[in-house]
Amino acid sequence: MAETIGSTGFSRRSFLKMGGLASAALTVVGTGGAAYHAGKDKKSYTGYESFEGEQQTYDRKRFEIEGPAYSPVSKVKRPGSFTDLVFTRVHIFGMKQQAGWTKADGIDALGEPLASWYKEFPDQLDLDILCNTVTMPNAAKDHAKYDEYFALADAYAWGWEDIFAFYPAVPTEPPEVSDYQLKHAVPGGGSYDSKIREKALPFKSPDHAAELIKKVAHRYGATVVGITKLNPDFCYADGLRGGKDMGPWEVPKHWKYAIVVGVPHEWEQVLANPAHGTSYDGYNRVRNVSARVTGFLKHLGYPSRSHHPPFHYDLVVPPIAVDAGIGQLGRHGFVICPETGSNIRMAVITTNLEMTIDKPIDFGVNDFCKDCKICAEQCPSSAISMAESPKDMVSRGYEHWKIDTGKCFNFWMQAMGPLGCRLCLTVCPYSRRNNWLHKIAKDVDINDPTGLVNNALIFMQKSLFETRDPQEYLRPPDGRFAGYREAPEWLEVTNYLAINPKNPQKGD
Amino acid sequence: MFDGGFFWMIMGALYVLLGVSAPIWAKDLGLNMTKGKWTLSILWYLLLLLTVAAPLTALAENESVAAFRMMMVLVVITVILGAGLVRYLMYKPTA
Repeated sequence: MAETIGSTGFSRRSFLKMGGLASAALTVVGTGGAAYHAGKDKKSYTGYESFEGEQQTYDRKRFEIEGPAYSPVSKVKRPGSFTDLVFTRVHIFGMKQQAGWTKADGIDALGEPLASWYKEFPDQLDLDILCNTVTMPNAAKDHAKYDEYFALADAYAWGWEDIFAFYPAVPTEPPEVSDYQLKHAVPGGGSYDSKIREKALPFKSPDHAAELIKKVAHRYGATVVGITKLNPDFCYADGLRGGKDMGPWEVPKHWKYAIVVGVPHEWEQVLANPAHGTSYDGYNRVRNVSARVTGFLKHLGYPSRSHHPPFHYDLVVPPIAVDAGIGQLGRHGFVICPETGSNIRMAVITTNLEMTIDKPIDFGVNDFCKDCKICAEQCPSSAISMAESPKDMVSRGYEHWKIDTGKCFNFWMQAMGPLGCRLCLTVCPYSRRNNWLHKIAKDVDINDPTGLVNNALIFMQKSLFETRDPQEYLRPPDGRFAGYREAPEWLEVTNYLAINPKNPQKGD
Repeated sequence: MFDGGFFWMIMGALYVLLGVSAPIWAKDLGLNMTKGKWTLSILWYLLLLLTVAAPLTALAENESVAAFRMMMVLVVITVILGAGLVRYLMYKPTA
């Protein structure tokens, strides 16, 4: 009788057995519910938490390597901001075409620096002609036809970025002057400059300086921060902002250190790239962080300059970020960061504040990218190499993964919605959400020296996850301006606006 | 609902109840459980949880195709291993 519960006649043993059976079912249901919640949870958006800063959660110490990350393999030549940078190159080339240049006139008639550059990279000339004569006019027609369908995505993007013309102010003097000045707004309009603190306030040690800069940068909104010595090879050779002319320039002596800050894009629209995604949220956030850090340094008396998106750079960011231990360069030419994958936008602050520098890291990206190739397979312009390794991909004296910028830009201009593509950062397996499923996969992969997990994960990514035929990303009639995934509901115009636009994704 | 301390406290209590009841079931079913058999049983149960959890997480990420494919693969593996486990647990060597 001692084993019965009250007068029910139901034994404790039976209670435990039935309770256990119910528990077995309930724990399965509960685990399922928790798993579903984990997949939906906004906290799993890579870097989402970063809007409050200090989310550099990855233990980089274990994967540090001796820097610098890159060593020259041939004669070094600093990149040209009017040539190697595709945006400015195609723009300048377009102006030459508008002025009457045709291919029959010959490359020399383009003048320098384009003439020398196109002689070095002759295949890019045809791609740039294609861009200005076919791609851009087609894009104009497509925008006229489908403008309303992408209206929310466009408005969302430009809402972030309209400010870039005003903040931070574009330097109008050389670094030797502007980096030592603070700009102050005048109520009612206008601004004036003042000199930074005459004598910089000394730090206790380079360690203290690095520690404080990182703490402050995180509080200004940076997800990741890294510090390195600036390799002048990664500075552009011409087009210095605020320079006396647009010609060659010497890297200023006070640009000794580079502070790299990075933030991710908002997650939901990243998945909708290239159609409904945008670069501008990341641009805006990282530019603000960079400008704030620059201001912080100047107020302490240290000259500094912000190099930030969309096109306010005197240097090339990715190799500097790799040197600073932010991540590693992927096949697609983006830096892959342990915290956010390829979903990261970065800015650099150059200064002379003595800081302890970070080391580059190797957490297995090189091996992963050699095997994966998903970005190359999905790239609608075939701009990303399918090569087995970056060996022999030498650019300006350094060997690294390199993309065909002319091909990339032709699709970049073709894509509808907010400017650009970003498909490669979207499809990168490292850009998955930060929930238990992907975190376990990533952590196990990183700690597996055999490469077996690497291969298994790539197999699962390719066989389980949905991929599109790259043709679908193209403009009609070849494609349908598809996104990698559907647009988030808040960017679907028909959910909120009383309009009935032509939808290219449904064949209109 | 599926987040926070209270949820996991309830889940913990359910796991404890499950743990307490499992030996009673084994005894009543006449299973001669050893450490090895318990280990295999727990591993299979974890596989069952994974079979539920992984596709649902993928589904919530809007990866419905991946969720479906994951579920198909995991269900087949779980059922086959489950059937094998039951046979192993029930197996009684004849004299």
